[in-house]
Formats: sequence, C-alpha cells, structure tokens
Amino acid sequence: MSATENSSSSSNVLSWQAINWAEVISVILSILLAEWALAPFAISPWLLGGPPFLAFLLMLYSHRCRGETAQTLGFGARYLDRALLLLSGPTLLAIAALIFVSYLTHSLHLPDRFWARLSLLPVWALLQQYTMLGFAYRRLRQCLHANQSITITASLFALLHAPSYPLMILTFLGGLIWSFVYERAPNLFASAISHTLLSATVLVAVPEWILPSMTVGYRCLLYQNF
Amino acid sequence: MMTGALVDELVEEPPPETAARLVGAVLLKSFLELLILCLVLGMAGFKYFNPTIRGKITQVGAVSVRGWVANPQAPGDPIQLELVIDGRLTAIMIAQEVQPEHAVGALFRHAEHPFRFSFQRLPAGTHSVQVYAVQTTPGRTLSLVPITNRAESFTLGRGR
Repeated sequence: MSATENSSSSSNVLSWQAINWAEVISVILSILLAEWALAPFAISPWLLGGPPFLAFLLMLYSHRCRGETAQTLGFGARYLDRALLLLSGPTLLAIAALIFVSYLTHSLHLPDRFWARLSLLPVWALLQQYTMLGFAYRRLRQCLHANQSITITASLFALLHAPSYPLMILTFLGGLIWSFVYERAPNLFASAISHTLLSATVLVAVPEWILPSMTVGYRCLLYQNF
Repeated sequence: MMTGALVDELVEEPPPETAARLVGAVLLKSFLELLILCLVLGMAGFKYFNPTIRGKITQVGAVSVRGWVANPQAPGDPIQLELVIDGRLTAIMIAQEVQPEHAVGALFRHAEHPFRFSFQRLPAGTHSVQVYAVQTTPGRTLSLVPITNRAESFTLGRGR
C-alpha cells in the first residue's frame, strides 16, 4: 500500500470517528435542548417534542445509510434468551435491594397515576434503550474500546437525567449493566424489560424524600422547589 | 478488542460516500432545531413580555396625576394601578370606568379607563412618575407592567 493510500485510509477512519461522535452528540443535544431550553417556556408540547423527533429521524436515517437492520440493532428474538439470562441476575438483585431499602424506610407506596405510568413504561423504556444502546452505544463502539463505550454510554444516559442526582446515580448504574449486556447479547427487548421492572420498582420503593419525582431537566428543578 | 456477539456486526464500516449524507443530515437537523428554538423563544417573548396593557399619563402636577389605561384583551375588566413617584410606591387605585367618549370604542376592544391619583403636594424639584398596571389577563403571568414606555419627568418650582 502506498503512502497516499495509507494517508487516505487514515483520514477516512478519522472522518468516520468524527461522524460517529457528531451523530451521538447531536442526538444527546436534541434531548438536552428539549429538557433544558424549551421546557421552561411551556409553549406547546409539539414544539417541545420537535428536537427529540428530529433526533429520532436522524437515527433512522443513519441506520439506513449504514445498512443497519432492526435485527442487527437488537429488535428481534436473536440473543433474547442470552440477554435475559445475563440481565436477570443484576435486575433481580437491584429489585431485591430496592425493596429491602423501602422495607427498612417504610417507603413502599403507590405514587400518583401509577398504573397509567406503568402502562407507558415498556414503550418508554424501549425507546430509551434504543437511543442509548441501539444508537449511541453502537456509534461509540465503532471508535472506542468496549469498556470505554460502556462507561461513556452510561455517563451520557445519566447526564440526560440531570439534575436529579438519585436518578443520575441509578441510570448510570443501569446504563453500565445494560451496555455491558448489550455488548455480549445485543437485544433491546431484554434491556427494555429490565428497564421497565427496575423503573416500576424505583417508583414504588424509593422514598419520596430521596426521589420526589421522576422528572428531569428544568421541570425537575420546579418540582424540587415547589 | 471486541468480544461476544457483536464482533461481526460492529466492525462493518459504511462506504465513505455516505459520510457526506450523514454530515448533511446532522447539519440539517441542527438547523431545524435552531429554527424551533428561535420560534419558541420568540413566542415566549411575545407571550410573557409583550404588555397587553397600555396607557398614557396625560397630566402630571404637584398633587395629582391623570391619564388613561386600557387592556384590549379584557376591555371590560377593571385594572389595578400603582403610582410610583421617584421610585417609591405612592398610591394604588382601580381604574374601572370607561370614558364616555370611548364608550363605542370600548365595544371594539379599545376600552380606555381614566384614572386620577391625588396625593400630598410634592416638594419642589424634578420628579419622575410612572404608573404600573397589575397584569391579570387570563393566560398571562401575574405581573406589574408600566403603562408607558418611559416614566414622565417634570419639575416643580418653589411656591407652586
């Protein structure tokens, strides 16, 4: 291979790394924009959902350009058994720990609109897992080592739950586990099931003085203060 | 080093020509988000900072201030006014009458409520007067809005 070809190949790799990062940052910024810059004005839910919707379109377009199928992303039965097996231990352990804490602090409770929230949780969890693992993790993984990708994905997932520090801690730990398992068994349904079970347990088990609400971004500040 | 099931799926690298399309998509998305942000900020600015209540201070004197105030979005509603002289709250009143000459206009959402504040004689010197209205229009944040762009300044001579 000539020096020119080497240089061209190296610049291609660099440009792909830059594009992977640009895509991830762009999607994360869209969510932060909605959470922090648009939420305070409460003008219209349609406008508030604009940036996340654009991020969703970008993710779909990116998959199409790269030839990624739903199956390769983790939407399907492939690796479902293996992922469920890998996730069952940490998920059950976390649920048991949360319930034990709630037992000690007498904080087991049914929050407002619990059943309505529970019915939406699986879809919400799948959407979050898709964004975090099916998109962000896969892009980061193309330019970073597995451990680095897992840590950065979990950190970004926690960042999106700022400024609620209890949620940030929980989502960082959850992000580490889900990314770790996705690396070995890429299935989004399994992660979404684990996410749903853990979120439901957090809703009923974590004392309100630790986690007053599940809101994030600017609205979290409002609920904390009033 | 890659391990496990993802090895075959993650190594695949897209052809270089798709790079331009992806960069274009990211830029287009950023541009649309900027438009949404501008739209929201513009709408919020208009909603929260554009005063619906307007008015005029027509006469200022040593013992009284006169003028009118109108809220086109709630023409029939009384308007609470606060008189501030030299930066200090001096009097509060509610303007609720509609001037006879504006009775027809009031029907077309131009209700002008006259107001007259009376107070103890001001000392000689230069004074600034501003009248604030309490914004209570439904859908708006409760706030105080000045009825004119600038405070009225006037000078009182000795013995007047």
